[in-house]
Amino acid sequence: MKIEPIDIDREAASLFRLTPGMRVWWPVDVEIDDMFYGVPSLARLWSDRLSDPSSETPVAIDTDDPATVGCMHVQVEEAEGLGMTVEVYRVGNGWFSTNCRGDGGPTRGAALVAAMRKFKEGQR
Amino acid sequence: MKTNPTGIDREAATLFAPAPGMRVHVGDAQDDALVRVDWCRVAESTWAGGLLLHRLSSSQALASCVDIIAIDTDDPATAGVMLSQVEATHGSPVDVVWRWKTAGTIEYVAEWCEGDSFVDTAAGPTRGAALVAAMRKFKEGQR
Repeated sequence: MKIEPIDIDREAASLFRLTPGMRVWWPVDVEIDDMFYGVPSLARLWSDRLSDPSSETPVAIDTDDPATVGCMHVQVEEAEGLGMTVEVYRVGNGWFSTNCRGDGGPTRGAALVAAMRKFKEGQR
Repeated sequence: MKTNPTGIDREAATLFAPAPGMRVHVGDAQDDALVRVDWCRVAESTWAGGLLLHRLSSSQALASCVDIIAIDTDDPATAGVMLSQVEATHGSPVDVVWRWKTAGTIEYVAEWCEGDSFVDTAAGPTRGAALVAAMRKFKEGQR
């Protein structure tokens, strides 16, 4: 399991909103109302455990965590709109792509970050 | 958000292992009787051999004595974990694609390969249901 976020995780934190089940890194000064035993302040905590998730910004989102990828997938679909169902699939050579926008990435999570990045760039 | 599990959710509980991030429907047992049923999210780690659950309605609870009745196959985080378990069982990536059905409805299809060769598919009305169908096929093939 990942113990330090990578660049794509940090970018994901700026592109995706927090939803329950995501694995995220928090800044050390974030106060969690319900931290459970043995979990240091930088480990995974849960957005549904925060007193007000909307007021907190994580340092990074674990784009390799299966549950987190599932949450990101739905957010890309919502961004695309019009009932678009986004597929993330292997294209060979260890590369993942999507049927919407973006250049894909080396993991499913990275491909979804690329798709969301393109979507946000298109909004500007 | 779902309040009552469906048949697919109940089947999922027999096919998939509870893992961090999943939304599960659990019942607290006392003297072999269910005393409370609740939706929870499986926490990061296990403790003392039991599942540590984040209860949505109360503070944390050690859930070593709970039965997992169902898994919420419509929950995005849960579907993500299910996909990883399907891939771990199959041993290679599984793609979940979609196709139009009649009357404008969508069917989700899990597809998997052996090397470069297409092998089989499993379908369902949702992404989670397609993954349940895929896992069912894999487990039946293991018998």
